[in-house]
Amino acid sequence: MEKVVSETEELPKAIVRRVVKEKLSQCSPDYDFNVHKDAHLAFTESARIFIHYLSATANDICKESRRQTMNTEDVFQALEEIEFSDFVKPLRDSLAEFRKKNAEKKGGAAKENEARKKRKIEDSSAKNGTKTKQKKQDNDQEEEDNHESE
Amino acid sequence: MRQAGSYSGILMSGKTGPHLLPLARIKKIMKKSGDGVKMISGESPIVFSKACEMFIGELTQRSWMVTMQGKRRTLNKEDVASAVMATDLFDFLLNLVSEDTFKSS
Repeated sequence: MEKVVSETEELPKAIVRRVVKEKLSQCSPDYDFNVHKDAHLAFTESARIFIHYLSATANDICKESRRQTMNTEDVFQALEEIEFSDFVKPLRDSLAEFRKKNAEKKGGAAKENEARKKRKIEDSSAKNGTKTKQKKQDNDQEEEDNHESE
Repeated sequence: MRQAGSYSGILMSGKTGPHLLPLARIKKIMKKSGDGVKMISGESPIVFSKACEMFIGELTQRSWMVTMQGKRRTLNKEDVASAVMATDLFDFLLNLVSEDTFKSS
């Protein structure tokens, strides 16, 4: 069976390698392990199929609920369905942590934006102050000129 | 340690350090999964990314057990194939491991 998978459809090998090595260093604390490059290919391919399998299942669940957009709950339900329920709790925790970090980042960014806006307003009002003074002087000068011409 | 750069991913807390699986690539793979995987919420690839890491970890661990049973220290693809065949959970991979590319030459 011919299988042509372009680079863009695969997970990056370096990252899969890293995940594998870190797992093995847990299994074998004395670091006495080696991984044949064919095995790395096997892991990469397996991961790709796992994503296919999980997303097809999640998509079915999403369709059943008559929604267009797959959401995280569909994914969690799909994991249960494909018997990877052990993954659900750690994934939920991970997602909660991500949401928290994101909210903090947004909050921080929003605060910075507010501060920046405030500074801008202050700066421009300071400039305006000098401008209006200048304008007044010019106006006065004009009036004087007018008076003279009469 | 690599900075986020073009990859956006979640950071795994704990001793294993940061892992970054590119969300855009995960999205691409998801969209090729079959009919109608068109719209995906922003957070879904994040869950997929982490689920994928956990899956690779699980497969690695079981494959390593086969390696050790053979009193070897080099994990090869036959060990992965054996782990898949020995684990019901990995039935969806049976097609993959039965392909010629997986069998030992």
